[in-house]
Amino acid sequence: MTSAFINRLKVFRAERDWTQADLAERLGVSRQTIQALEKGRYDPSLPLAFRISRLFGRPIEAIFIA
Amino acid sequence: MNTEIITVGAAAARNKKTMDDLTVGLCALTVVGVSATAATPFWPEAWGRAPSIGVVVLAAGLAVFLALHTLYWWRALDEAAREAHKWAWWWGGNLGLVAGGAAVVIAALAGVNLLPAALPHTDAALIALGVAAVFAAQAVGYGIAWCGWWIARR
Repeated sequence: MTSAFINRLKVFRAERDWTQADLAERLGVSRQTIQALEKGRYDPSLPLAFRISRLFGRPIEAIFIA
Repeated sequence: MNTEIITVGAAAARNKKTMDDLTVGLCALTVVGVSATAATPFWPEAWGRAPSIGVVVLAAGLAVFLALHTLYWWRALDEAAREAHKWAWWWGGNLGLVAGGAAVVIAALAGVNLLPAALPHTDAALIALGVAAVFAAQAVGYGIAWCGWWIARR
């Protein structure tokens, strides 16, 4: 069930002092989805990964590390 | 970046407004359904007594309403929520179907009287019971699988 990737979503979110709900609203997804993403139990689709990348102003490979 | 955030929010708001409009439409349709009592014209005699126009309009409107409501509900879900439903539909629904079907067949072969005493013991009633039992088992399987998907990702 755990993803093959490590992600730094929680780190980037904490840097901005956002709650999971804040991030969910900005990405247009539910808070449960953010929780699953942060715990590495759900891999986002490519469009969502790009939205995350744009939101944090970082390349995808800086957020999702293989 | 901000434009995209606004777009996501605006799309969700538009979706909600459409669903609200649909609900208002259904309420209007219900009024028509209850008040239009004239028999439906051009109803084939072979199909028995013609229902009222209101009932036909209401049934057709309800079918369209449910289809559209489902479409907008699905569009409002995010990708993880859709994935949970798809996974639950396949695994929960299919395993429920198999388990429910097997339970009905085993019970029938064992001579268990599945039909309640109040119902007529006809072939049609037995078939209806089988369909209802399998549908219920699918729904239970779906619910369990859906919960399991989200619990595993908490």
